[in-house]
Amino acid sequence: MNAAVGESAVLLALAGAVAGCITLVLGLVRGRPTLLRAGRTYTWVILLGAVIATLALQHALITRDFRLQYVANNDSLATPLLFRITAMWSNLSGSILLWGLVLAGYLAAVAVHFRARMTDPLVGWATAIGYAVAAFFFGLMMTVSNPFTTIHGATPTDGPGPDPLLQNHILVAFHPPLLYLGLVGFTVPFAFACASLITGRIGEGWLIETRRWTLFAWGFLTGGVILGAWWSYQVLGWGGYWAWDPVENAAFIPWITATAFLHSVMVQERRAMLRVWNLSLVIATFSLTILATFLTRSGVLESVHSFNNTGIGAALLTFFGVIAAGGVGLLAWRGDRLRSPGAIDSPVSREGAFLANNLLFGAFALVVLLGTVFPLIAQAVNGEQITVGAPYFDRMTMPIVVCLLFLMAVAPVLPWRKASAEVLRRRLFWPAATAVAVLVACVAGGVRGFNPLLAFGLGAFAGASALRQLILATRRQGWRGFVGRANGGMIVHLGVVLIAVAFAASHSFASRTQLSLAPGQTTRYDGHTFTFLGMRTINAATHSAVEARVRVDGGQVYGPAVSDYPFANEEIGTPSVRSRPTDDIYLTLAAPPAKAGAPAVIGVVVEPLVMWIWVGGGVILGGTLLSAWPGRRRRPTDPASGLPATRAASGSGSAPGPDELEPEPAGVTAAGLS
Amino acid sequence: MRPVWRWAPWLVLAVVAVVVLVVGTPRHSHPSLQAETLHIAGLVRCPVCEGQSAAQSDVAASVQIRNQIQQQLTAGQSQSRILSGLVAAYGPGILEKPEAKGIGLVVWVVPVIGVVAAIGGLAVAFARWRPRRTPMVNAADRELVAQALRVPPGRGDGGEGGRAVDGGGAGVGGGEAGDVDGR
Amino acid sequence: MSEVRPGVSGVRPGRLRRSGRVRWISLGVACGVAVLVAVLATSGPASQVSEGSPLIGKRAPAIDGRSLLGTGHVELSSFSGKWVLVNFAASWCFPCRQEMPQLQAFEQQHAQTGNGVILSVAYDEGDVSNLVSYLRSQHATWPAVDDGSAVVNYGVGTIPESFLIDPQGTVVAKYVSGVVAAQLDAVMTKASGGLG
Repeated sequence: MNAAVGESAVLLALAGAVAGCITLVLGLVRGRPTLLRAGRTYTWVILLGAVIATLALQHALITRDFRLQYVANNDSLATPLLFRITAMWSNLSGSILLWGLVLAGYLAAVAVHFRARMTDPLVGWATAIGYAVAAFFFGLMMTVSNPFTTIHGATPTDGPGPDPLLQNHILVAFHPPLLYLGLVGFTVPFAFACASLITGRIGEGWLIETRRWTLFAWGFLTGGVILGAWWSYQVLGWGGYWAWDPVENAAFIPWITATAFLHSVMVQERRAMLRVWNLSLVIATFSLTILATFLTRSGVLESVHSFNNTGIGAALLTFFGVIAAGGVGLLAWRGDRLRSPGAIDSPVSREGAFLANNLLFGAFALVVLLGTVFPLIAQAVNGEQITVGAPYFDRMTMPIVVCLLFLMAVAPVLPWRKASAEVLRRRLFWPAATAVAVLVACVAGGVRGFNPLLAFGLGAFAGASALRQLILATRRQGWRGFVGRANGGMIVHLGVVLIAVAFAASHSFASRTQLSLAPGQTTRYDGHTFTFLGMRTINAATHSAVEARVRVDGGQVYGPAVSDYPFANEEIGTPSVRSRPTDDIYLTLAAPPAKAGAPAVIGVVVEPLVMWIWVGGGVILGGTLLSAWPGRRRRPTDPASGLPATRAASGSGSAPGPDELEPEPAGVTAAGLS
Repeated sequence: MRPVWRWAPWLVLAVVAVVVLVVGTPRHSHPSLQAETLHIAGLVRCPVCEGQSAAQSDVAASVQIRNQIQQQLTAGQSQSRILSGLVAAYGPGILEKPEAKGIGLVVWVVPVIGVVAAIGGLAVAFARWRPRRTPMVNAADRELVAQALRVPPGRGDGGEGGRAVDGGGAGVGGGEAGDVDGR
Repeated sequence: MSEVRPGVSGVRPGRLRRSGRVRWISLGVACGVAVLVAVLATSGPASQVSEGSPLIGKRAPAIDGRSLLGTGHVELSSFSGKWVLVNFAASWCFPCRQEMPQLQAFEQQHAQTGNGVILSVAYDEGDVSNLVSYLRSQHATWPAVDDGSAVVNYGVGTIPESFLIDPQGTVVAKYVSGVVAAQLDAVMTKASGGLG
């Protein structure tokens, strides 16, 4: 029943996507508005199919319909409801269905948002491309990655349940869906970018249409990546949150290119420049999300996340090749139309800073991409086994991040066009003074080490610069000084600074050890006391565990454990973390006592400021929301730059705020002509 | 005040920053045996697990590697000697950071080449943009500027921006729109 | 104003140059993507990458430690002149248990001829006592040794892992996930034949 419903729903969605794509392309090529209007309705067919298929799979998982291969492999009688629901994305074919559902949702949102403009070729082509992407993913579900395959022969009475690592933390319910909302969300800007190239309307139109879409996708992706780090910190038990694992990198590379895009977009809106570059960034971002899916799902790279299925690997790799080749081909085809009319006057200007930002993000993406796939390249070239691990990424990205922090401090105060030394001298004085004060305070407080001091100093510089912008904006505009792209962007910068500082602190000043403690014994390490109270055995429905009771600093008792899942190959360690604003104490059970009363080996990691990474993530998400908040629109008659005579005459006394970089044709043209 | 003196506070900041960084950077560090062991183990891949270093993982193979490193450090061996011993046993894949030789060189050099090429490209682009900066000003433009300048004084935002741009583009370049520093 | 004019009329050559540049860059990027796709397409799954060892053909690293089943020390060098199968094991390792009959077969065959021995090495320091009782229960009476540094010197990852060492003390082969006695014999006969 579930299988039949699910499979027909997937077929429905696939048929809708294919038919819609054909209808739209026919309508566009022949110029038939009726076909374009008809094409839009297929969005609802796709959405209906995706929703029904998801409900069918959820129903099968929740009611434990073991006739389905997917349920038999990823569900069990003992699995609690939450993890039966999340089992949908705890393996390959279910997660592809989640991808399809999210994509269908985005397509529906596009259809609603652009409902009045369905006959516009730009929207038509964009929708057709969205349908094509949907057709690919629903096609996968019909062929190599079918979540509704049924078991031949006897129906099993029980299954192994989801992977043990995917059923012991609540974050499993949030991290993958958020990540997918981010990765899939880049389909929309990609579709519009391609549509603009196809229609030849390569101006700023597509950019403005998709600005908020990109922002939301970016926000979701940021949230997904940070929650992923949090999950890995809470579950994996090695005391870290970012291992430069290939699959972490795979989601991080599109994040880097998307971040570059969010910045360079402003140059195009303001100065009508960098068109080819922005299109390339959007196409690269989407291609890289497909590459990320390939790397995650094909098992070519060793990773904690890999699912090992080569059938889907070939399909995803082909799709990546088609997307990348298509995008590059379109760019080459329209290359002659993409000539920017503008010029950049000085490297020391807002647009110059955005160029530098893009250079750094480009280098960042290159380093992470190269490092991630290099083991495969080396293997292919001369069969050599090479590892590219955290020390490489730390070494290579450190200078980039330092430069980015510096740029984050300087760029927001730079005027467009050209800055003088005088401007920088005055606007940057207080941020720089704050940075030096923080440095002095750190050294006086006993912080030693060049790299962390540099990070703290530059972090304070960037943070103070962002705060300065926010203070100026709120003084001028009241609460509106927090909303709009520029102001929200400054809040995002504050979140990034928090993360950078916390990252540097926890990396530089973490101390780890193993304490061998007999029951009742207390020992001191790194300013904290640890008392081992004894062991406890836990018998849960899904697993059994031995837990060490450890009292930290004479207060609360924590329970690092080792769990034994009946179907897992090895025992799963579960850390226990005490989080405080100053430091985290990360406890693991390295070795349970050999016999009752014998000492247990407790792994201890003391890491300062880790909590601020999650706080920074929250600040970034808040800032993203505020950025997307509709700011006050500038009247189209006002020039984008220069003395706003009309506003001055109106005597409101409110100067155009930084959030009013809202583009409009008049401003762009004015900049282009100058 | 002469322009040079306006930079005096900046000079003070720069001197303080440099002094503080020099003071804060320990020159002679004597890490403990355990810290040094963990540092070297951090450069070594855990041979069994995925994506962790021998410093982070507690599986038997990593524990043995850490023990070995500690013994060799106690015996006075250098970091490079210890690492090359591990490479001899496990192959180059045991190192978390590829050595900058052979094919491993690529992964170090390509990003640097990329950045240098991009900076070069940007420099060329700026060199090309420069000549076109000669503003095309005709009578109508001058009238527009004159009109704009007749705006009553006392507005906070225009001032700074106006001064910021030393004649770059006539009338444009209001700088950071709406910055009220000048107030 | 006449200096400005060339800039305007120069648009056309500029456009041509520009579009040429975009096309060349596009071509370059396309080549890069093609290479990446080719590399990824030809890469096998990570879990199937074959396990070589840089030790093959080299002199076998020394093994020297406390004897697990007897008393005193066991040294690898004391077996020179014989084939030695160095087998890394732990009591908790399930595939090692599956491998045990093959080890026993190898032992039985070569105990008579005296040309080959097995040397078991404890893989996990915390497991040594369990390993001893496990080996005893399996009547695995061949030499067994506790030498933690051997695990590192032989570059052992996931056990079971074994190394075949020829009578001259050179590492001939590495075996992961279990040995097969017949295979070992084939290697030994072939090598002995080759040596004359």
